[in-house]
Amino acid sequence: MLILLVPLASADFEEECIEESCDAEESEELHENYESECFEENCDLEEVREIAGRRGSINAMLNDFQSRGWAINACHRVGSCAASPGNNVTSFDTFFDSFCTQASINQHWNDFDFDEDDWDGGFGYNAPCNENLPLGRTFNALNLLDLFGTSKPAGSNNYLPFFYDYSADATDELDGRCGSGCPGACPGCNRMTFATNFQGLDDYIELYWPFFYNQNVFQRAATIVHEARHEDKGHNGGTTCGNGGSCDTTWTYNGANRYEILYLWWLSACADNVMPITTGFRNQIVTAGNNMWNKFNTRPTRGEVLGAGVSNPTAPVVIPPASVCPL
Amino acid sequence: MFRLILVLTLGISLTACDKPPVSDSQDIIKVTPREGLKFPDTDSGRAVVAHLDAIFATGPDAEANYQASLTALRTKGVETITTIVETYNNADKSLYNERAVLVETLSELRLLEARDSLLEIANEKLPERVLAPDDTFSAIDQESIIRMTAIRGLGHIALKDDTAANALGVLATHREVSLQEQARVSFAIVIAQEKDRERLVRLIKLFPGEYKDWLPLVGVAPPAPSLN
Repeated sequence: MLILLVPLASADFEEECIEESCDAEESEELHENYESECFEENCDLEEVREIAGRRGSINAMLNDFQSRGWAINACHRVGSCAASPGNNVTSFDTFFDSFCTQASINQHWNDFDFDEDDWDGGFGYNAPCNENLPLGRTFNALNLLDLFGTSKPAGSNNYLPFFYDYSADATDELDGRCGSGCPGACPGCNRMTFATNFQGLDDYIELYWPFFYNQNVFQRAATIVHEARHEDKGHNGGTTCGNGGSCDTTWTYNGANRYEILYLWWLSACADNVMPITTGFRNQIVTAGNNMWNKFNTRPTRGEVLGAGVSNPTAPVVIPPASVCPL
Repeated sequence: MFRLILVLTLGISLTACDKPPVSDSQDIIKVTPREGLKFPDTDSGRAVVAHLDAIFATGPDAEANYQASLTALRTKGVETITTIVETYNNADKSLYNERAVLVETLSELRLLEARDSLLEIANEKLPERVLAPDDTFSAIDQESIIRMTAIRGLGHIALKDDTAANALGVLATHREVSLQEQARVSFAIVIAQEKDRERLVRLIKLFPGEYKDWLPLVGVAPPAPSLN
């Protein structure tokens, strides 16, 4: 008797649905596999590829799942860096559309040293006010940064306008790139780089796909402040803070994490002077700021941040729901 | 002479590179919008959509309109909660901002009926924290904002509800620092407002550490940035 031993390997989308045509049941089995690999746990691109059979079949598989009304994670799609905006109202991009004028473009172009060849080829050089494209979304962040002024007036204690001036001065060049998080290089969206500051003979900041499409306008503005601070200081805390990376040792180090928190704090405190915002909007700014305290190796205290005269100076500091905006 | 030509050439090419784009040019570029939140085609679905717009409105009337919109959502309490939670559960995970704003709404409803949903969201499994090079973020950063927002909502409910207060006590020891700290802040606010002596003692016992350390400061301005 001849016994054929066939290895038990689960079929993939390529075999089931492209080489042949699959029915709903076969497709559902593949989706169940996808769900258990990628929703119950976090999967990387390689695991999605295994279910699809080959990299070239990933999008076809996800399209098939989606057409049947089953959940997918859009970040698992592979392909070119297609502009992929979500809801432009909740990202706050729609609001800033009207701020995009020739005068504001000229100002930002010069202040942040943009170059055409870093923003053409689909990044929006030829449609700079299009809120769906990387350049338009970068301008929106810069318009938020300069909405409160382009430098702190002498005698004022309101530091919100300081951040545009500081970022512009510290930034040698602002470049748009596909990079991390582009659907073609997005392993399950579990790692993404918003921006990187490069220093050498030529200093420049690169902004990547997640900056344009995974951050809202105020987060993008905060990222620009963060990266600008890297012009003077890199992260010095290794990987031993709660965040596991991008750590600064202390508040006193005065690095990029401190600057980003300060920008969000000032925005929450003083935005109302020029742009009255809602409690819901302010809550999201405050929460984004308070999500950054884990990026210090030593937890900043009230005394360190607000001065020794503050009550309970050894207690951890948090951004309050409502802060005072000084004159 | 050679130097002069070189400088002129470089100057011309740099000027050409630096030319700002023209504001009203509109090249047609293919845009593939991510599928957004899918709301039910009901009065409640439309009311939540309108509320999300209200959150991001600005201007002198923005806060009043936002509060009026919240009040309207509260009058249809359970229906609103169901709409938000179903929309949240069906949302693509990568829609971080949209999901955060949904949870912001659920939290600010301050309705007891939202408690269990907020608890579920606060306790949802987080993506793994991956060791990454500097300035590389993992999805956990964005997901944490959503969970922190849910925890803040639990704090509103815990003012009068022991289940929510107990949950805050547990979340206040969460391994993720941001969630742990948000729970401590929200729990401290609950304790500070408690008037019933018996409940106050019980809540203080539940708090890991000194609750007064986590009360947000009132009436302070942000610290000035320093250039050092």
